[in-house]
Amino acid sequence: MATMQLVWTLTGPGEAVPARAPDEARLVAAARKGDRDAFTELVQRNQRRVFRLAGRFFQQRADVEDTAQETFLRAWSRLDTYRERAPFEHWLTRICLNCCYTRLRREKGTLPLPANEPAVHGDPDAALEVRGLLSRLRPSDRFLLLLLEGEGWSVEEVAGRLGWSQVNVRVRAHRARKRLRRLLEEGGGP
Amino acid sequence: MNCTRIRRGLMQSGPANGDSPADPDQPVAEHLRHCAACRGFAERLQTARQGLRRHHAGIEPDAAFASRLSRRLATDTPTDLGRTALRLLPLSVAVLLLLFLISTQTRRLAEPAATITATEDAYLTWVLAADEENS
Repeated sequence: MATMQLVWTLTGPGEAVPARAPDEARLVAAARKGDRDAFTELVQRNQRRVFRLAGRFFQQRADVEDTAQETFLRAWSRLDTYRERAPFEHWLTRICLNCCYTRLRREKGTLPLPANEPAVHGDPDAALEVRGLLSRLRPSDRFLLLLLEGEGWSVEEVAGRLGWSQVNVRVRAHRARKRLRRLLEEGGGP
Repeated sequence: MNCTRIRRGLMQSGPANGDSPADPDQPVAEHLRHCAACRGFAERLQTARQGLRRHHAGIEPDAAFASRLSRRLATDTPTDLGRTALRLLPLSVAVLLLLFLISTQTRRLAEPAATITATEDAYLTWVLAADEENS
């Protein structure tokens, strides 16, 4: 049976996949020994990508920044568990997604409206309608739909990036889409 | 095809599955031409999907983010604390186990002494009672 290797990154759909930096292993090794400067260098290289991913789930700067900080702090405390089988960026993606998921579930369904900054690019009315739709979904459904529909990832990609089984993702995706369908049938959609 | 099956199919199709909701199958397209309710549903679904794709804060890290994080690393030192806690865990368990064993053994040693005392008391009571009977 042919095995399929998933290639994925924190980059957006149109962005180029970055090559693995040659000195990444050196920085990781130094950070493991407690070198904060080396870890800060890794942070600087990956912070935009982490912000981009967190910005998919949270609309306010404070939430995005808190999630990014939590991601890097967790990475710092768990550097021993990074096996270097995949680029550092992939390992960071999983941590970031888990932080986002935990934070979304902690919100218990609330989706605060932005105070001053525009939440979503494009038509503001349509953006508010999408926010209204998302606010009526459970956090776990919102999380999966934003990955599947927002990021455009397949079930296999979501499973690979989160470390969940494909069956688990498939079942959750089915439930999330079913709830979205009901909302759209009620006419509550955008 | 009924409306429920059509809508389920529309939900399953999409960019994540390699399909485009704008180009539905022939039977689906035929159904949508005749069913206004499903057509409305398909339009709402497409708008929702576009909205989900655009749903992004678009926030960039400021120049001081890395230095703020670096300060937190210095103060929180989760690595040191986490590692120390993990290293001390087996030792803590061993100490607790040892204390438990010592307390169990002490209780066992204390129990016969209490029995002896009780026996001595009973014996004394019996002797005193016997003396009174004999006197």
